[in-house]
Amino acid sequence: MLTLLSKEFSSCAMSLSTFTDPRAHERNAYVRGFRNWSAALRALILREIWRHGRTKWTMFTFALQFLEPVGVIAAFGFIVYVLLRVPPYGPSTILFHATGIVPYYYFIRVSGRTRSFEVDRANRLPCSDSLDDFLILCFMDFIVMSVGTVILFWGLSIFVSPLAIPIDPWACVTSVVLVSILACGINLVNAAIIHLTKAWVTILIVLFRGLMLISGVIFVVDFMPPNIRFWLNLNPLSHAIMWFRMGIYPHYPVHTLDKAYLVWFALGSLVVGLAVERATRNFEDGQ
Amino acid sequence: MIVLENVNVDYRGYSLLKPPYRVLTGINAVLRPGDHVAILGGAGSGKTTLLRLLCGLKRPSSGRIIRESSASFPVGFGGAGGKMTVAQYIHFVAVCYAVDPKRLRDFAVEFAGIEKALDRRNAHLEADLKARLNVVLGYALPFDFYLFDNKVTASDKSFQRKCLALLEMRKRTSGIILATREPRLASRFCRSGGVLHNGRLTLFNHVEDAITFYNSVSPTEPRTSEDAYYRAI
Repeated sequence: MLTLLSKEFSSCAMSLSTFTDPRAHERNAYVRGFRNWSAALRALILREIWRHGRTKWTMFTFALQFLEPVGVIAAFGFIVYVLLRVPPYGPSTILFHATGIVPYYYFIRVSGRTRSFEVDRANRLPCSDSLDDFLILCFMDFIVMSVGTVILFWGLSIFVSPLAIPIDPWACVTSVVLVSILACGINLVNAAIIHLTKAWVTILIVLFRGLMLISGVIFVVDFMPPNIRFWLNLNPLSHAIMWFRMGIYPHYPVHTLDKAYLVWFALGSLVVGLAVERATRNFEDGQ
Repeated sequence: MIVLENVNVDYRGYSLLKPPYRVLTGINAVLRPGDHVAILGGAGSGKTTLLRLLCGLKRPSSGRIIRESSASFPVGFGGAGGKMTVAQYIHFVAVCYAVDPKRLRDFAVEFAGIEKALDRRNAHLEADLKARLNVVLGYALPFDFYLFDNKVTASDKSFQRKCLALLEMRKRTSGIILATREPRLASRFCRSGGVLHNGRLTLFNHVEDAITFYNSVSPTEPRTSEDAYYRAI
């Protein structure tokens, strides 16, 4: 057969024979598996970067994703300034709302990618699992939000209030990491429900927007009447926002903050999410 | 080596109330490196599902698959992400399978003639170019087993001839698993065979025996356009 080939193709065939898999000689199956997995994750990160646009605009399109929370912070700051003239807590209205909006948007961004996750199931290569796709989507959203948050608070510290530099950065980091884990679990459950009914996407949008009003984004939970405070404290996101503000304000009231509740809620939601994903994996149609 | 132990596959629809539909039942098989196996079966018999199991695109509902050898995605599989450009997709595949992205791109350009399409998005590619890209990436990457779903080539005559030459090259060093409903294709490329019928796989040491069994259980003729394709290659 090769004798029939043109000269041009012979060079192609020569170069083909030099393609070898560098992982093929790895004897330890676990090491080989881990290398395959890490290569797939690297490729998925690249794909996720490229999906947002052509290379030279990539950073710009990433930046656009952070403009929405910045706009919401500015809007809230303006409305409260016009109506009340006094910030709910601290010297700056903008800073107070920023400390609530940022953890809230971590939750929205990381848990709001169920649709992309669903679409990607059909297009993936065998080297990666649909769960890998999901992890990378969540990870990339976390990275984008983190870069945006650092830039936002750096800007706030210069132009709004020097209080924007956290006094306890670990409190802020722990808070947003736990919110992201919580969002991952809820994302997996949402993906399973969307398999059953596409209407869940519309319901989610309403639920997520309503969540802002019951998470302590625009008020201090500890300043609420006890009966309202009880219901607000059932929401893990309100604990995350209190924890985040604890890292910014030196004397922020956190009497109702229950760190263990948030930690167990986040880990529990991730376990439930993974279990639901496993149970509904065969709910695919067709292929 | 790829071993399938009592593999069952059920498909569930979107309704929790309906019982699952069993596609594959109790599949047992051992595929050794260098095996050239044809899987014969009629439309809807589960050939594609079996290939997806072998390459890892799908997990079995029950049973076990031990994959000690690497298996390609079905050659020509259109997994190209719509928003990526062709060059980006080639780079993505190269990183996934740990080959040099530049060399893979050079090979794809030279072999499939897609240099003018490198900066175009996959979603906007013509069907012919997309088919060329998918086929050439399938052949270019190094695997222990190459999987084919009903076709081994794409596009025009000259490209088909080059693909067949590549297939012959790959056959020397790797195994192939060809799922098809066309006995002519099976007898041309494979030495052993299996027949999927009623969700069960029956394996034969010689492809001729598999074809005889296949003809006895599935006497329907292939469609005319497909028959023309098989004659052409």
